[in-house]
Amino acid sequence: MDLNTIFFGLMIVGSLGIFLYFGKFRASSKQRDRDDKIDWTQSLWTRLKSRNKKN
Amino acid sequence: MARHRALQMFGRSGNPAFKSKAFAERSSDFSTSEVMTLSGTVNKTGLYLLLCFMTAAWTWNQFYSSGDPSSVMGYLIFGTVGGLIAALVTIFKPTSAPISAPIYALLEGFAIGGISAMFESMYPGIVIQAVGLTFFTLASLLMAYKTGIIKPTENFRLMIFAATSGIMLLYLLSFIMSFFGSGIGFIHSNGPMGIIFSLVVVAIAALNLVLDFDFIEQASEQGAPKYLEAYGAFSLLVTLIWLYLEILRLLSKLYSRN
Repeated sequence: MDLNTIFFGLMIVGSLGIFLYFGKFRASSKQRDRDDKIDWTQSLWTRLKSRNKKN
Repeated sequence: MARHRALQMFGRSGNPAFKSKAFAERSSDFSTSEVMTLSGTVNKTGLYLLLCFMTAAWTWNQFYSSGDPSSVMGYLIFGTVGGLIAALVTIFKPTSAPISAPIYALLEGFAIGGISAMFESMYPGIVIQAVGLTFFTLASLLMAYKTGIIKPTENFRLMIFAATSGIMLLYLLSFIMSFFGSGIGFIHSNGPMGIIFSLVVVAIAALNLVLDFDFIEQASEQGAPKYLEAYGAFSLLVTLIWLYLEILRLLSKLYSRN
């Protein structure tokens, strides 16, 4: 096994570990308690139309 | 009916392959067992990645056991066309995601395995680098999102959506022009312009992950229906596959310069 495989293999294992472990935790309050969060209940198209009306 | 009502109002992510659908109703409309969770979505993403890896490994082995690129062309076309159909079904009927998303993962594996084997035969060692960089980007952006370093806003969403649409349009134009013996040169060139273009595309693909994280986070926080777990995992998988292919292309451009 060459150095390339070892280095990137470890990177894959480590990154997947981080994703599978930390992905299950909620985001920080700094991320969640914002006023400018994306409103996923509104489509981008609706959003654009309402923005154009305001302008 | 509650499930269908939940999909009446949908948001859109900048995801290249589909318009991400959100949720309009709260958990009160669903029993506790039907509510989406973060861990459920992460587990499903892990499962879909495993499925994708399994079929990719199968195609990869077919390529290396025969040593002939034409031996995997059938798998490649089958995976690409089948994957596209499975993706469209998932996008237009999100309630089918628990079934269509794993099928998509399996089919995409066939395509990715073939493409990866071809790149590896030309540039040995490139595939593990591309996979490593893809997962490293995933983990880094997840941490940046979770800690609040990257804060996706409506403007961010609009910017990523516009950039992604622009890239898709450019690829489509290049594809159509190829039938007339022409094309957009810099997309495939290994010159400075081609490399800058690939870097920009990789960056846009990576930022799509942030939108996926935000969609999953908010959907699970607001108690979206359970099938959106599979939908969220599908969304992540689509972005990851796109990111992987773009990194592979960027690395191949860099390799071909040597």
